[in-house]
Amino acid sequence: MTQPTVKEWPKSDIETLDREIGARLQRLSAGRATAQDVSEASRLIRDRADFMMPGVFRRLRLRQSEKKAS
Amino acid sequence: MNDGTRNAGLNDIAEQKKWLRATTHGLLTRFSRWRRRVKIGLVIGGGFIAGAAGVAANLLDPALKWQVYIFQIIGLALVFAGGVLMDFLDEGAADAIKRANELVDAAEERDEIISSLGEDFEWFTRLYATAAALRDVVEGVAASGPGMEDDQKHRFAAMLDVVVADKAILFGMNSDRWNFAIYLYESGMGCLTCIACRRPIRAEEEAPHRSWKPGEGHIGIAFQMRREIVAGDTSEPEARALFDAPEANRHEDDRERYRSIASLPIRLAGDEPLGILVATSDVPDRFRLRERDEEGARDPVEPLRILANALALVIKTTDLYNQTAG
Repeated sequence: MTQPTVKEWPKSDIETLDREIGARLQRLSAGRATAQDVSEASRLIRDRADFMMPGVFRRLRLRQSEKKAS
Repeated sequence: MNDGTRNAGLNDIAEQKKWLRATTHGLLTRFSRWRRRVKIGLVIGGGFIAGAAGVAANLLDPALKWQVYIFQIIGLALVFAGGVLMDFLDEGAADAIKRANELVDAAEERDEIISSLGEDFEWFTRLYATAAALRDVVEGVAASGPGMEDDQKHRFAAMLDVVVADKAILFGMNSDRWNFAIYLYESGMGCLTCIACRRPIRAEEEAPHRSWKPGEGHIGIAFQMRREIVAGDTSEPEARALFDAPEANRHEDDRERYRSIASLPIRLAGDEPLGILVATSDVPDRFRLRERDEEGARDPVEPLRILANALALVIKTTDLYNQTAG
């Protein structure tokens, strides 16, 4: 059996999101950002907020979107 | 809303629920008794009338028998009503019980949601207050400078205190054997040394602490990998294989004492890490990675991220002050 490596140790989703957001914001502040960077940064910020949201709100939102769809 | 008002509100809901159960039960019990009596009365009364009419029909003149037959029909109709029609009312009662139970279940579910949201709200507000307090420290350094070396040490300890003060709500800690420590990288020594530490016992805080080389133990690995390393239960074989300290730097009670660990790089975005913020507990899963689909909002690593970031800002600001002064 092969030994696990540190690289395989589970990564925090939030840390990954923060790094992605940070990278885009750095491009923004350096004036090198594209329109895609801006929209991706705002989507990632929303993703981070969603990640922290309690399950009951996610369920309610899902129910609302299901109602709208039907 | 304070705890007292919220508890009073929840107690009120509990009282209402109790009342609803008792009232529904009382009404249905009375309705059931009344239904049974009516049913028995209709069947016995109807049977008696029909029977008496049958006997009378044999005694009366045939020309008058039609009057008796009417009574017999009425009696049979009463038996029919008692035996068959009341069963429909039984079905109505079962439906009422089902609906009442559903109502009580829905009220209970709502109570649970409110209680869980209350805990989440308390956690978020405490997290926000902690972040605001740490930001004040950072702003203080930016505005007035870092002061002497001792001031900086006291400042780091105070920043740990801000988080430790709310450890019950932020991390759910109660009687844990916990530890919060800041390790900074000493490039001259080539290792990470503890510059501030908070533990439940003062003597343990002041005792000498181990130093860690990059890549050594949980702290050294997080520094070398430049990423958060969170182990919910270090007694698991995979975690032991990866994070056990080298033999020379290992203590006998390490596995028992540091059951869950979170090591976070102290760094600004894109920069090399300056050190490691470490938090430990002897309770498994006290520090763990929050999953995306979790019901609760509490993330035990988030307050540490905020603290690590504030520490990085204080250190960087201090460096800038020192460069300017130099």
